[in-house]
Amino acid sequence: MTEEQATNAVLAHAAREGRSLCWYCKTEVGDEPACGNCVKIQPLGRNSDYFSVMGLPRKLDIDPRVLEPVYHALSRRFHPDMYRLATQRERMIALENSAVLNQAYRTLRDPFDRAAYLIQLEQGRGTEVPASPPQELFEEILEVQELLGEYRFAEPDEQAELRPQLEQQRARLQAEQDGRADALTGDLFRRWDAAIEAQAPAEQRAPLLAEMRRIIGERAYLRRVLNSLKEALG
Amino acid sequence: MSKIPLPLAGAHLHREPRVVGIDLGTTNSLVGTMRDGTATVIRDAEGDALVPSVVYFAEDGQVVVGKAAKEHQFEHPERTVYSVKRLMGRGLEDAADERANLPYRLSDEYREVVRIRIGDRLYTPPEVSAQILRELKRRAEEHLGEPVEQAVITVPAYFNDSQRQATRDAGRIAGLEVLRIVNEPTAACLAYGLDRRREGMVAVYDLGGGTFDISILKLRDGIFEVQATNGDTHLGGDDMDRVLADRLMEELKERFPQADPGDPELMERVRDAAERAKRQLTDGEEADVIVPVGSEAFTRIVTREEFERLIEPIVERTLEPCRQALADAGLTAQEIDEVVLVGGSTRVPLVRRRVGEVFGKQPHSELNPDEVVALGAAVQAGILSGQVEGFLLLDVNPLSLGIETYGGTVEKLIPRNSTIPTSARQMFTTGVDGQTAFDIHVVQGEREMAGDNRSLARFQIHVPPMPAGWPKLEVTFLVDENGILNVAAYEHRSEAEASIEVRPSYGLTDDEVERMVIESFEHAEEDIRARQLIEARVEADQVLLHTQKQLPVAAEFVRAGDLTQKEYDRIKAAIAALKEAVGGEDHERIRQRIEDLDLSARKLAQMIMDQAVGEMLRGRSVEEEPVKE
Repeated sequence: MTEEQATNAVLAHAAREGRSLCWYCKTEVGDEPACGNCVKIQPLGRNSDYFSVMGLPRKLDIDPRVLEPVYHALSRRFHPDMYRLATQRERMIALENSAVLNQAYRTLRDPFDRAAYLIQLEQGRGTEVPASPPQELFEEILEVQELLGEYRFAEPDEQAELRPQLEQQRARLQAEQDGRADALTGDLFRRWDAAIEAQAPAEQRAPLLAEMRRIIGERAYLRRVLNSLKEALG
Repeated sequence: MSKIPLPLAGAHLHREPRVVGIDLGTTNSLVGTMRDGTATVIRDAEGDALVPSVVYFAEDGQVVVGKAAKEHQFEHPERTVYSVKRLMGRGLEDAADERANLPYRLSDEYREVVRIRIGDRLYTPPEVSAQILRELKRRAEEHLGEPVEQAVITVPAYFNDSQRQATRDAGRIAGLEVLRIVNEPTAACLAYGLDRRREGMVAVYDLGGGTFDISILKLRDGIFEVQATNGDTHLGGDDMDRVLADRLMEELKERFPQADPGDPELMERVRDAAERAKRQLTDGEEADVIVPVGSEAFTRIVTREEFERLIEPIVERTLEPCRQALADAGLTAQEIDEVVLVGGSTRVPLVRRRVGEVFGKQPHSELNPDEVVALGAAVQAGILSGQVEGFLLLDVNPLSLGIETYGGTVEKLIPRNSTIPTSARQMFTTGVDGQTAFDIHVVQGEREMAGDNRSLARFQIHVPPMPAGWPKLEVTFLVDENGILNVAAYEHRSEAEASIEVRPSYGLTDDEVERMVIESFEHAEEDIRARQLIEARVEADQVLLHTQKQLPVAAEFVRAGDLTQKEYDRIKAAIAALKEAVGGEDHERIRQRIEDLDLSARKLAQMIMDQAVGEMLRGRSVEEEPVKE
């Protein structure tokens, strides 16, 4: 067994016991990005989520002006450029940590990606939110799609006639879309954060997640319709 | 184990190896370095920093790079390779459009990586680029007075994985460890930002000889964060030359029906005339075109207005990527604080005007647009070697990365404009009992169907035989800080790393690169040997001329009894032996014979010297002595 394999075996054993050790000096380490004993860079654990990577609680109301400096500081800490003269292993850890950090920032800086990620995190993997049509707008959407079909194959003068109707529908759907954005990032985010602060049990938080899930799914669906409207109308 | 004590004083003398920054351009290349905290480009004796990216392969095996190679462009167009960057990382099929415009030939036999045919030898684009890199390395070493083994090399931001790999391979073949591949517009921004320590949103519009990039960066706290990038790897000043050259050639054909428009030399002359006219039109309103045709000449005046009409579609093609990059960054043109122009083609007035209109502000170009990328590369080299502190580049991958699904569609793993490094994980399992291999086809691009995107590589991953659906194969796709993909696979049931075979679609395998590295060393030896032979021959010729002139004098000495016949014969034999050696290829043999002759004629030389001194003392110059041939 090589030294590296032996080290890996020790680390894997500790991991099964729910502990993590420094890959270099084998001192127990927590969530810190560097070992407290030998100051070597530590891999961001496979189980740590994007919120913990950024040192944040699982709250949704995140100010981008707060997030950016955190991201920059951690980038300076992990970016491979900073480990040019380090050992191969440290460089590899830096590369992987950097990759996780970049994905974390990309996900958390967008409120919808952030909420979708939280749903996955809370309800387990494989719960990607599917696009689904909003029930109450079902009729309108059907009508829009019919009109769009007509519009695409119409002569220029007929198109000019159909256009105002479509523009009107577009404005209405866009308003619906914006309303959903406000509902999600306003009221729902606040209620979720309050639940986290109050350490509410999972079953009390579940309805909030379900509500977010519905809105995100509907937004995805509406975006598709709006995109095809944009394609046709410009 | 015994330990050898280190002398303490010497232990701290370890010096950081020098890292240089290289802009490996389509038309020109440059090398830069950090000196006293400032980035500078390295210039030759005439003050030129630009090394034309032209390589001439002489029939005798000699390789000439740069200005000297450019001189062969007309006489030996089929042995002079330019714009090789356009062929980097490309297969024969996707090089088809380039092919028609190149006077040198491509081999039809190799599909995945094009080969350039020079006489009976084939060269891959990385091998040709390596010649340019070697020249830059030599320049840097001469300038710095120390060996240079590590470099940062820039590439167009819109280069795909194969093009980046090819650039890295070129470095390896040239004997350079490529510490980092940096995107050109990002490098340019680094040169600007460092200079003035600005904050804000910067758009870098980079139109070079053969490539176009637009990058939008956010500068804050010394961090250069690319927000979005877009571009076209086959759009540049060359295309402007081409549309004008096509127009000129048409008219030339009309006026000189006997001229052959397919003649490589004529093509070269017309292209050259077009390029000159473009340059003249930067400041002038009119340009004179003169192309020799046989004993006559084709002459014409090109106005700026006409030129602008011709190139307008090319300039327009750069604007859509600008709009797309803005949209991807979630910004409007009004939110851009500064626009920076990079690349020689941004000297074209129409380009400046249109860019100014699109972004609604005057673009600036205080730094030389030809040199700014190399300066930025030097800064990044300084960051990596620890000479420059406090700055960090966060770049993005220009194209989405995905895998081909069962139905031939693409499943996107990493969207374009993701900050790198970045990674994606995907779980796989088997569909058949005992299946031991998975084929994963990775593609790069934005299209829905795998076939419409660029194939990057096929990875074959091996797992131990298990019942169908049992293996839990986790595949990690990691794009590193250079924008290059790395793939790793872990099988959870057997708790083992799975072995992966990579078949790059358009790149060289590691073995091939390794072979080229070795070959280049062999050639380097050949080159040295060729030079040594030439030097030895030149010296031998001088020695022979000199001694032969002295033979009549020697005969006099023999007659006078001052030199024996045997000594005289030995000199004549040594002359004959040296003449024989000069006809051969062995420079060491020539050197040996030169020494032999020198030894044989030493007494004679001494006598001539003594005689000359005697003559001088008598007030006569030895030069007045008539010498019989």
